[in-house]
Amino acid sequence: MERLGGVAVLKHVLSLLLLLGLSTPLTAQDLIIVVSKKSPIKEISLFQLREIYLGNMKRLAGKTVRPIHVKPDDPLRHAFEDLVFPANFDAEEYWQNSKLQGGPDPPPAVRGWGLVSAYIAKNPGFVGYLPAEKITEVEAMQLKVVTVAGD
Amino acid sequence: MNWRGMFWLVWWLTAWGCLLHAQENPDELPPQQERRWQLGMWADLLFLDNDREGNEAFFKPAHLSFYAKYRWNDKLSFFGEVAGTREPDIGGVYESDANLERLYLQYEWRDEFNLRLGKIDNQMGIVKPIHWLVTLDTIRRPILEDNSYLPAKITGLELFGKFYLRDHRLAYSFSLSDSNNEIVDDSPIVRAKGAGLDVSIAKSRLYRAGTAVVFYRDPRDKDRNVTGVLPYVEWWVLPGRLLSRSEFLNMRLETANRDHIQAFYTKLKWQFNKRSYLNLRYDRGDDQRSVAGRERTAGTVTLGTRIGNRWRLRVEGSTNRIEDEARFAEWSAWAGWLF
Repeated sequence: MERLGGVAVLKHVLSLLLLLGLSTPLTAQDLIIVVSKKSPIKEISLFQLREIYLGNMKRLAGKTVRPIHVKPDDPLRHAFEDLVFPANFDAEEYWQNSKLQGGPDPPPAVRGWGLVSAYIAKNPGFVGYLPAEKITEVEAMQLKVVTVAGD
Repeated sequence: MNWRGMFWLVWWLTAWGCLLHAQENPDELPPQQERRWQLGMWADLLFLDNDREGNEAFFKPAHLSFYAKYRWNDKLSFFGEVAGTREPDIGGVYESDANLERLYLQYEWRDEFNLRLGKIDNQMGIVKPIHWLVTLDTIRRPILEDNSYLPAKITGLELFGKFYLRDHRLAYSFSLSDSNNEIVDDSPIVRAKGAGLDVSIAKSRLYRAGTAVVFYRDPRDKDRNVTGVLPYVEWWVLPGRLLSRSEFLNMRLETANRDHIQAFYTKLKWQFNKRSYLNLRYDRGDDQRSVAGRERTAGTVTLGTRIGNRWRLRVEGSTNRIEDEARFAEWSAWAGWLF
């Protein structure tokens, strides 16, 4: 009886947290890097991902490669940027400066991981990221998971 | 055909070659990935004051810049910029002028080989290509850049690119130009044909080191040959937190009254968070623009932040010493607005 009471209290606390929108933020472990099944890319380093997402690297494994993002307010994007960019890197300022200097254009950003997968399936030159829980559905989306090596 | 004729013939042939051979996007990409037109502008407000006798504080809009980019496809784009400038030197002297700052065609063939043709930024060292106040992290530029000993803009062609060696990026920029120095009338380079090469190696957000070498020859005065070397290094001492950077310019002149010009700076930048930082810089060099070539040293402290997407703010204090003059202090504030 006492144990059941504890569970009930825990449920109440969790409900309250969800109600207040205090869900746990996504981390690097919560995402996977994907490319088209037609892409020759099998492995990618964090350095290469960083260079691709900063518009510096445009070819990999002998093929054209372009990045795609989800919208800036998506928690998945925050998790990705925390994984790829160093602490205190201001991506917003980087793209503003790039525009001022006639540099590379920022990656296209779509609403939600569903559009990311559709975009990559249609355009095999793109690389993107999905929630890790979608790993079992990647094959059906005509995508494949890329192994991420360290820097 | 003389040298100038050959230069422009090569320029036009290259430009037409790029236009004719800019293929549509490869199969891997959608037909139109990026927006065709990008328009932008920025403006700023500058306050400058110092404790020199007879000084008058400056508090005015200092820059207004309009720029546009047009992208035909994944390879070919055009960039143009016009700007009005009113920025005092260390003596409080300034002129208001408006200029065509940049106008070029860019052909991005692949990572390793790309081309710019037209009036372009001079890609030498670290500060020179980002010399605008809006992209710098201080209000006063380093002496070597404030004097524009190497022209900030060049007219000609630039071949540039990068190679990847594991997790390192090896970048280069080679330019052939007909340069016009718009800032310092008695600069070593007023108008001259030149060649420049900048080579650097970097590991992103860890370090960057490189050297630029330039050669200028003034066709009107065969005694005004100039060669310059600009080694530079940038290193994240604490990745994401503490950045150190140094650039050193040594220019050898062949003129009657001078044989060289030297200037360098070294700085430390502490990044509090994504938006705010503290910058400490020590400068030393021959200052042609402000004090007629005498040596100036300066220690500068800058606090900067970015507010929202539109505003960049900075406050700065410096202590300056000019050869044969008393030390003086300068303080300044700057607000930049991007839209």
